Amino acid sequence: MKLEKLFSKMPCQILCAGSDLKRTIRGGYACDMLSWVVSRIDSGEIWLTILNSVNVVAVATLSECACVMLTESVEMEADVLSRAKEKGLTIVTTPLTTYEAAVSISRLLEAEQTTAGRN
Amino acid sequence: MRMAVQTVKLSFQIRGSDFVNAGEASSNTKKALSRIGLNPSVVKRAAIAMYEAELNAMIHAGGGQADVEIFPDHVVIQIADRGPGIPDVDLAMQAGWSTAPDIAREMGFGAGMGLPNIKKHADDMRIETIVGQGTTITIHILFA
Repeated sequence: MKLEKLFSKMPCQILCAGSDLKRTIRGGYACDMLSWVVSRIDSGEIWLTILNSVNVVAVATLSECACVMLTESVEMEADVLSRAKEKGLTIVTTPLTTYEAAVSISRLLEAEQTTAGRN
Repeated sequence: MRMAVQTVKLSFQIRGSDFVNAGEASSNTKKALSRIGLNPSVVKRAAIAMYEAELNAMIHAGGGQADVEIFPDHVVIQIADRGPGIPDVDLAMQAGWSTAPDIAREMGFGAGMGLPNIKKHADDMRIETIVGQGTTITIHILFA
């Protein structure tokens, strides 16, 4: 599923539109410890977190994740978003909890796979 | 006649407690490695290992110096600081062990995965440390 399609099916707001909203998402990773994320998230996965400092931008860039989804309606400061824009990162925020967002993404990806399987 | 090996050298200053620019040295190294057309997984391993060492110098040692030398078949990344040193390297290598201050923990650091992550992603990692004088971490990443 492409990022832009996922965003259209979830309650979320784009805070920073990165360089590739047509990027394909392959899954997600939920964690608020940077060293775990940088080491374990795969490129093409959505990172679910409540962290919103500039270090999130560094870790997301290094790990090449598909996008950062801030949960629980967490916002990001303008200077951090500006850094994200420089790096071509996509950042969105959702009112869902991390658990709810993960379940929602999982169901959407599964539904798309099922549909693709029928076609 | 023996040909001299051509290498590319990069050097970066790491400022202590500079959370805003933390990771820039690793990010620039990643770009340099990507430009020479290396396998993306190799580039990512180098970037992650260097990021952890860079962050350690920034958080624990008041900053330091990062020197990167890119050879035809590998890269050597050296992060040197004049911080407090590591009294017990074996303990510091244990996943989960951390001496990060609260300010770092509030930003998502301090998982105690820094050194273990470097070891996991590097082909070779060496720690030279003297308590009260500083620490130098040398990381080797092979391209194939």
